[in-house]
Amino acid sequence: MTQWMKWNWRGIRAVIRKDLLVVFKNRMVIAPMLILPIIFTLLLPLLVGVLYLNAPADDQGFSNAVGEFESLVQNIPLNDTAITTLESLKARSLYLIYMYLFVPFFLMLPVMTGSIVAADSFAGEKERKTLEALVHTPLSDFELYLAKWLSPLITAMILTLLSAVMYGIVVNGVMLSGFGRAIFPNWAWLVLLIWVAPAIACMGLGVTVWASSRVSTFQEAYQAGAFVILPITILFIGQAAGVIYFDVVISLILGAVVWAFDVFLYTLGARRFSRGAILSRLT
Amino acid sequence: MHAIHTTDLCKQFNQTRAVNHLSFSVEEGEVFGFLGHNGAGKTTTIRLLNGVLEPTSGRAVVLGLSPYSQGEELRQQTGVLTESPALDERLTAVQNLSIFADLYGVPRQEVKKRVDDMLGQFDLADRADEKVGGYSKGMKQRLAIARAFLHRPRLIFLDEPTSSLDPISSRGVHDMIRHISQEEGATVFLCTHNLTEAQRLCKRVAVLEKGQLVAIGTPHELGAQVGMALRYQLEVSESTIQTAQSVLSTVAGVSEMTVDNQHITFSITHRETVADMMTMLINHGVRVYSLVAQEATLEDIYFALHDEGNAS
Ligand SMILES: Nc1ncnc2c1ncn2[C@@H]1O[C@H](COP(=O)(O)OP(=O)(O)O)[C@@H](O)[C@H]1O
Ligand SMILES: [Mg+2]
Repeated sequence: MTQWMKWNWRGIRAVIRKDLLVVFKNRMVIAPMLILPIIFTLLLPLLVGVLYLNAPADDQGFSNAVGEFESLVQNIPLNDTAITTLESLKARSLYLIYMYLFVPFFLMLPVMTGSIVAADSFAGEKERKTLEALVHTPLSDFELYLAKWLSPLITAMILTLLSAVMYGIVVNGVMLSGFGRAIFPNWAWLVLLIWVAPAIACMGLGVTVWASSRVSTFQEAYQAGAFVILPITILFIGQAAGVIYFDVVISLILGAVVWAFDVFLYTLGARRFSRGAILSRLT
Repeated sequence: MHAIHTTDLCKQFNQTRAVNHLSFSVEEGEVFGFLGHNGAGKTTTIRLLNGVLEPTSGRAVVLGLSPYSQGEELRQQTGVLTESPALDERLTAVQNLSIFADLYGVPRQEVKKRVDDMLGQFDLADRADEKVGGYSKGMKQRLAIARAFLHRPRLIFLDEPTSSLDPISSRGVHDMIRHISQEEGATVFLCTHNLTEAQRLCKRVAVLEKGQLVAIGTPHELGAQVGMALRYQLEVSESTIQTAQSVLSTVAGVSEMTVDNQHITFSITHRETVADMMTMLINHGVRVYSLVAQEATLEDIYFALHDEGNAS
């Protein structure tokens, strides 16, 4: 029997269930997690689509802007063959916007969700004094720590994948109605959602867990987490916006790098994590 | 077998020695009182005994296990009522209990029935699906006790179970503690600074002060330990009161005699003397109506111990 089969999975699942139930009942936590996806995966892409599709073909300003945009993209070695099969300038521009410009959002969402939920399930639980009962349960320190990593990760992935589905519906809706083609997702996006997003979520939650061991309220933990996460996010957005370029290979590499950092964060936290230690910080 | 046995158990936090060379045993099945005022080290002791904290030095054996190194196995068999109820206020009573049923490994097919039973027994059934945040303090405490007892632990730690409750809720909690101990045969380790509570519920008590054990035993033994005399009140017929008085003055160990009407009040150092004294009274033809023991309360003992501790 391998080691992980011996773990108390029923107990671990119970902690996760508890965390998810509690998180989804907390408006302060759930509001930012829902508002952002609604703006970025529903309203904004829909607005862009409607504007593009309804812009008159002879609008000089519009085609100038699109033209510039296109020439910018052409300077980058883009090995995306799907775009070349699109005929119109409008279709190509929309493709570029949808498939590249929105990438940073799907990096931001998991990092943010992971961090908020981790702040709630570590520091928030301390604040509400419920951790006290949890440390007296049969779960081992390791199982508790693992459960506390899994709850934010699972929440982040649920939210990210739901957002992706919503985004896919909007994007394909626009592209189908305008040009008769569905474009979402491609392989690069699938890698992004399944490989990079969870890695990024772990980074957000790992940093927050690390930070929240020094503080005692949800607010402080979240702020401490955000303090570290914000620069990282800005770095990503800057990169992505400047280059507007990502593909399967880059996603795989990016994911691997972040996962490696996650392993580091996880072990760093695991070494500091013991039920006695979290109780001491509690009192 | 001992449910709990400790030898020289110590826990040092940075500057504070919260638990200092604690050595005591608790019998299986007894209700054991652990007395001490705030900061005495009661909560820390529970944490040490349940394997949540690692002792700085010394040893504890709880249910035959070493708490810190065999914590997971031990905690399967213990239940804890923490100082604050530590319930998830955003969840319902049923959710709170069923999550802990999973955490404690209550057989899956029994969870629902066990949760319902508990809620019924603790008088929470009609509000089982309400969020706990809206409960009164007494209800929260009852739910927390229900949760501590959900998996039928062999040993249950109660950390000041009634300190935030009104007298009526307190009485309810006392009934539950008695039920737990009598019906289920569980060992109860009761931390409290409420002396009447300890007197009512516990067979034996230990008094803790600044992390150190200052006394242990039945309330009666403790009284003797602090050299507290037992007071008795004797009621006899008016005609024999003179005789009674003169007989009593010859009994060794009787002191501080006072008389009013038909009552003679006096102190005795050993209980055994009472039996001899009665024989002598009857032999001398004294007509005894009643003999009432006015034993020292735990409160008297506690303060006597406290004064003793401060004097030394
Ligand atoms: N985690 C901790 N870190 C530092 N000091 C502590 C910690 N826990 C308890 N103490 C100290 O140990 C002493 C005993 O505390 P505690 O066991 O909570 O007492 P009680 O439960 O009897 O009120 C107190 O002086 C308290 O301040
Ligand atoms: Mg305490």
